[in-house]
Amino acid sequence: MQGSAQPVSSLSSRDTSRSSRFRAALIEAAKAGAIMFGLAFPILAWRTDLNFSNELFLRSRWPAVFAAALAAFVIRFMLAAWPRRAAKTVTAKAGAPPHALTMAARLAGGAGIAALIAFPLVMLAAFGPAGAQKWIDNFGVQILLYVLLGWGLNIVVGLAGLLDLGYVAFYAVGAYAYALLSTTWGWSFWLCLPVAGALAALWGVALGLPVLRLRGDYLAIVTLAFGEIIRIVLTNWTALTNGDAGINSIPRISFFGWPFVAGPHGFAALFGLKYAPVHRLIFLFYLVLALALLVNFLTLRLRRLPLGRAFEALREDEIACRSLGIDTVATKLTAFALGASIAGMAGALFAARQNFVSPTSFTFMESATILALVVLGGSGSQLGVALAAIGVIGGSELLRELDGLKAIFGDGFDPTQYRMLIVGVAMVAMMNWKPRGLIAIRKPSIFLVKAKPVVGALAQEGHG
Amino acid sequence: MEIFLQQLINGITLGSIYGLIAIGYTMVFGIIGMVNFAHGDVFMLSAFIALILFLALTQLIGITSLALAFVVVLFASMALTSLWSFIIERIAYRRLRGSFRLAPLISAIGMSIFLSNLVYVLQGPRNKALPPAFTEVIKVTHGGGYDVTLSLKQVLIVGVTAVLLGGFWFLVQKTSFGRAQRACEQDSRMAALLGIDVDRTISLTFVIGAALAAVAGVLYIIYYGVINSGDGFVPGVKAFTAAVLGGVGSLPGAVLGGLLIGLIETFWAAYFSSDYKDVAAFSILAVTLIFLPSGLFGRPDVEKV
Amino acid sequence: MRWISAPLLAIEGLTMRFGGLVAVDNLDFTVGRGDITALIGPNGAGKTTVFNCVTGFYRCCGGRMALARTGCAAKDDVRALTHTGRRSASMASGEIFLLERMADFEIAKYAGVARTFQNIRLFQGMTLIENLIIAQHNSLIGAGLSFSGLTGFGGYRAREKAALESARYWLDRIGLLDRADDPAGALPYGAQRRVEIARAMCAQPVLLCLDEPAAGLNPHESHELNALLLSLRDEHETSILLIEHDMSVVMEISDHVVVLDYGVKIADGRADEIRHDPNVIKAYLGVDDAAEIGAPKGDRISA
Repeated sequence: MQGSAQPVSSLSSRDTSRSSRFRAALIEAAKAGAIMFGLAFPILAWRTDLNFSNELFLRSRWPAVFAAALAAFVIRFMLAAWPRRAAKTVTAKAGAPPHALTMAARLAGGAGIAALIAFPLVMLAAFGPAGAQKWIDNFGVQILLYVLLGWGLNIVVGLAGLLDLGYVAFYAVGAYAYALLSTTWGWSFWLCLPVAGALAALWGVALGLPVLRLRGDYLAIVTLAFGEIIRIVLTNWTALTNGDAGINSIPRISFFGWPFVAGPHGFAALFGLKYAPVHRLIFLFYLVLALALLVNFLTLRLRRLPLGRAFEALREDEIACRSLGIDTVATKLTAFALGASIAGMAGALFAARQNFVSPTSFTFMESATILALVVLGGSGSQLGVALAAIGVIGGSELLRELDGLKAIFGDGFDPTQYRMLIVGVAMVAMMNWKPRGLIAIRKPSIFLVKAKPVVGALAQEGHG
Repeated sequence: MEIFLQQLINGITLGSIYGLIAIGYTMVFGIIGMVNFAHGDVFMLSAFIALILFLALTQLIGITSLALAFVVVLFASMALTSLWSFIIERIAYRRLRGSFRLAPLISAIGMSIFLSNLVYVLQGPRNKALPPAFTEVIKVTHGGGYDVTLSLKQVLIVGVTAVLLGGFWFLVQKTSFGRAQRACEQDSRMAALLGIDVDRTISLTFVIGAALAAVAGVLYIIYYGVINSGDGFVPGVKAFTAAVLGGVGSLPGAVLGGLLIGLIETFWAAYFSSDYKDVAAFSILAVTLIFLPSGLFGRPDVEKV
Repeated sequence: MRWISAPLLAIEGLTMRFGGLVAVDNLDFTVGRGDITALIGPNGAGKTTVFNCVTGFYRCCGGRMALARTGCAAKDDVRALTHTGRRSASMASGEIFLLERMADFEIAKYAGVARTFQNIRLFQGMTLIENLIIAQHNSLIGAGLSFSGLTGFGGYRAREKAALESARYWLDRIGLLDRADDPAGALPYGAQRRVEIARAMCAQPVLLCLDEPAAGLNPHESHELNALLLSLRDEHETSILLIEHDMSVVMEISDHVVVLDYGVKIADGRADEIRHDPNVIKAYLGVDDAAEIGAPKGDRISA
C-alpha cells in the first residue's frame, strides 16, 4: 500500500476483500458442516443397542451429531478466514537439519538410558512394593517389550525397507515356543530364550524365501496373510496349542535358578529381603531392558557394517544394489531373520511376564501397532521408535488410569480401542504431515570428514 | 450331489458379494497403483449404515413394506458410503500421491484401523443382528434326504451383482468417464496434459468403488443378518485376493475372482473344515501373489531398468 | 583391432524377444580388452536391451555371451565350456564366464562387470562416500561378518580403511572430494553422473558398461568425460562398453564402434570406418540436405 493515493478507496478495497474472504469462508464452512452431518448420519446419530428381549433398537444421539457438524463448521471457517501462510518451506538442502536436533538426540539417548535404569527404583520409592507393581509391569515391562518389538521391526522396515505386516507371527512363535517347551519338557527360561529366537528366525527365513522378491504393497499383503494363517492355525490346532483357551501355568521367571517365592529357597531369602511380588517384576524389567540395550547396540553397530549398509542401500534402490554385486535375496532374508529373532525373544519374555499365552494376543492389530511405532517414530531411527512406544503405549495405559474418563464414557470403556483409534488417526496424520516420521533425519554410517545428517526427504524408497 | 448343488448356490452367492467389494479394490489399484487397505472397512461401515437405516425406517418411521425399505436403504447407503469414501480419499490419500511408495499404504492402514475402531466406539462391540427378512425360499430339488433350496435373497444378490457388473463394465468401456479413467490408469501425467481432470477422475473412482461396496454391505446384512465392527478385515482381504486373482484392473476379473474365492471357501467349509476356511482364502492370496501376480486376466508389467 | 586379437567379451547369436517383438535379433560382436567400444544406433535399436542382457538384468532368449576375466575368450575354450553346462571355468586361454547363465548380481560379483544406468541410480539419501563404500561391499562383507567386524577391532578395521582410501581416490579423480559427505541427491546432474562412474570403478571391474554417460552434459562436461574415460582405459586397464548418442564422445574416444538398427548389427569397425559407412549414414548419422537434393530421383531416401 503506497502511502500516497486515496486512503478511502484503499480502505474500502481492503474491506471488500476481507468481506469477500469471509463470505467464501462461510460457504466453505457450510459445506464442511453439511459434509460432517452426512458423515455423522446415521452412524453417530443412532446407537444400536439391545433391549430386554434381545432385540435391536436405536438410541438417538442427535446432540452429538449437531455438535460435530457445528465443530466442523467453526473449524473450517477459521481455517478459511485466516489462512496460515506456508509455515515452513520444505527444501531438501543438504545438511539442513539443525545441529541442535542431533545433539538433542544424542543427549536424549544417554539420559534416557539412565532414566530407564533408575525407573524401577524410583517407582519403588514412590509407591512402595505393592503400589509400584502396576507401574513397573504395565508401564515398564510392557512398554519395553514394545520398544524391543519396534526395534526388531525397525531392522526390517526402517533399515531394509521391507514392509512386514505379519510381524506378530514371530512374536507368537517365540511366546508359544517358551510356553510349550517349558510346560511339556520343563526347559528353563534361559534355554528357551535363545531357542525362541532361533525358531523365530527359522520361520522368518521360511516365510521370507517365497515372498521376498515381491514389490512393496504385495510383500506387505502376503506377510499379512501369513500372519493371519499362523494365528488361525494357533487358534484351531487345539491338540498342540489348546486353542483359544491358551496355555497357562507357564513357569515364572527365576533369578538364575532362585525362584521368586517366599520361603528359604527364594530370591528374597537369598538377599535377606522381605518377600514381595514386585521383585520378580523388577528383575523382568531389567532383563528386558538388558536385551533391548543389546539389540540397540547391535543395530547401531550393524549400520556401520557392510551388512547394515547393504540393508539401507536395498531400501534405496534394489536394482542399483544388484548391479554392484549384492545378493539382494540373501540380504533381505538376513534382515527378515534378524527382525524375526528379536520378535521371538520378545515373545518368550512376554510369555514369561504373563505366564499365559493365547492366540488373541497375536492379532493383526498388534502387527499394525508395532508398525505404527516404527512409522511414527521415523523409519530407521532407534530413538524415534522408542519415543513412539512410550507415547502410544504409555499414553493408552495412562488413559486406563484416568478414572474420570470412566465417568464420561461409561463402564464399558476400553482404552485399548481408543488407543487403536488414536493410532489410526496418528498414522494418517503423520503420513500427511511428516511422511518420514517424527525423527526423519538419517545419520550417515561412515564419513570422510564430518558426519552430516541427511534430511529424510532425500531418501528414496522402493526404486525398483 | 444335493449337498454339492447347495454349496454351489451358496458359494456363488457369497462370491458375488466378494466380487462387488473386489471391484472397488481393482479400480483403485488400477488407477493409482495403491492397495486401498481401508476398503474392507468401508464395506463394514456401509453394512452398519444399512442396518441403522433399516431399523430407523421400520421402527421409527414405521414402514412395513420390506421391499420399499430395502430400496430406500440401498440408495441411501450407497450415497452415504460414497460420501465417506470421497472424504477418505481427500484426507488420507490425495496428498500422498507423489510421495514415497509406502506412504499411501501406511496411511490406508491407519485409516482402516481408524474406521473399524470408530464404529466399535460408536456402536459397541457386540454383534448386531437384524431380524430376518426376505426369507422366501424356492425348493430347487430334493434328494438323499436333503432339500436343495434357492432363497430369494440369493437370487437378489446374484442378480444385483450381474446387473451392476454389466452396468459398470459398460461405464468403463463405453463412456467418456471410463475412457478418462483408463487414460489415467495408463499415464496420469499425460492424461492431465490432455485436459482430463485427474483428481476428479480418481475421486469418482473411489466413489464408485465405495458405492459398490455399499451394495455389498446391504446385501451382506440382508443375507447374514449379522454385522460386527471387526467384520471389515477378513472380507476385505478376501475381496482383495479376488481382485488380484482376476487380474488387477479388470472388472470382470474381479467378479470372477470373487466367485472363485466364494466357491472355494464354501466348498472347503462344507467338505473339509469350517474352522480353517479363512486359511484357505489367505493361502490362495499368498499363492496368487507369489506365483501369479498378474492374475488370470491381468496384464503383466515389465519394469524398465 | 584388439577386439579380434584379444577378445574380452564375445557375443554370439544374442536374441531377445518381448512377447511378439524381437528387440535384438541374432547379434554377434566382440569387445576387445583394453578397448573403448561404442554401441550406437537410433532409438529403439536395442542398445539398452543388449546392455541389460550382458549385465544380467534381462534373461536373453538365446545366444551366448562369453567374458574372459583374465586372458581372452578364445572360441574353442568357449565352445568347450558351453558343453559342460557350467557357468564359468578356468580354461587354457583364461578364466571364462558364460554370462547368459548368470544372474545380474553374480555377473557383477564374479565376472567383474560394472554398469551405470540411463536414469541415474545413485543411492540418493546416502552420502557420496557411502555410495562408494557400498560398491566395495563384496570385498568387505567377509570381514564384516566376522568377530573383528562385530567388535570393531583388527582385520575389519584395516579393510574398511582401505575401502575408504579407494573411495577417496575416486572422489578426488572426479573432482568431488570436497562433497564427500554430502548426500548424493543434493548434487547437480552432471556431478551425479560422474559419481555413478566413480562408484562403478570402486567395484574394480574388468568391463565397465556405461549407458549414455554423456546424456545431459554440456560440451565442456563431455570433454571432461572423454578425458576421464580415456584415463580409465589407459591407467586402470579397464575396458569400456558404452551406449552413446553424442557423436563427439563416440568418434573422439572409441577404438571400436558397433552400430545397431532394429535389433540387427549393420556395421562393425573402427570409428573412422563407421563414420563413412553408407548404411550407417542412411540409418542413423544423417545425410546432408544438399547431397539429398542432388541424388537422382529413384534414390530419394525418405527420412
